[in-house]
Amino acid sequence: MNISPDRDSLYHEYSGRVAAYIGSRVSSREDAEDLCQEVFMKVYSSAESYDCSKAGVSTWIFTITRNTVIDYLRSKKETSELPEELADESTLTDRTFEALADAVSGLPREQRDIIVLRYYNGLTLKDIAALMGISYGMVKLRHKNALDFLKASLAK
Amino acid sequence: MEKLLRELFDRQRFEGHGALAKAVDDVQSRYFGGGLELSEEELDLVSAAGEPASVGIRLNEDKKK
Repeated sequence: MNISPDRDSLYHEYSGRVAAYIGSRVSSREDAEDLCQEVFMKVYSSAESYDCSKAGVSTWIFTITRNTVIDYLRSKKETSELPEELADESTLTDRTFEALADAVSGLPREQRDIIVLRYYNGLTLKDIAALMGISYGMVKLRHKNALDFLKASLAK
Repeated sequence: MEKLLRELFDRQRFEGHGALAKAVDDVQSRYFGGGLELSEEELDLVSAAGEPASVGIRLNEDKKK
């Protein structure tokens, strides 16, 4: 099923999110602004072929934004390697994103802290132990318990 | 699961899921001091409109120029 989303409403609703995402990945403000424009050029040019039965509008625009950032990082060689989360194709569906976000938010604080520090900040478990002032063994145990809880939450 | 979590937080930068954003902000604030907590003294300088009083002072100074 195809729809042609209105350009103005798309820009109005998503430009802030696109800019925020690009800004979190690209250090040059000027390049980030250019990339933001590039994303919307791609969005407008592919709007006719957008299939809403395959992905929500948000997922579609996120995918275009993410791929634009990956192409930029590769061309600029800003980093020797792409961040792990950008290295592979995204497999997170809208439903999984919501379910996993809710599950992480529902973790006990001591486990949630570890998940955020590990997967948002990219710290190692040893770094997290030092930062939290607890033993590495305790961090490993809480990390494992959190992953088990999250797996069980998604399986429901 | 670990790959999904990396993707989750990457997409969070775009989606801004309310509860998850709050959890991330809370962690950044407690471990890296990235919060926007204001002291009592700083709060006194914030006007009713939520703007720092110093902004108003600067605007008045600009008008004088």
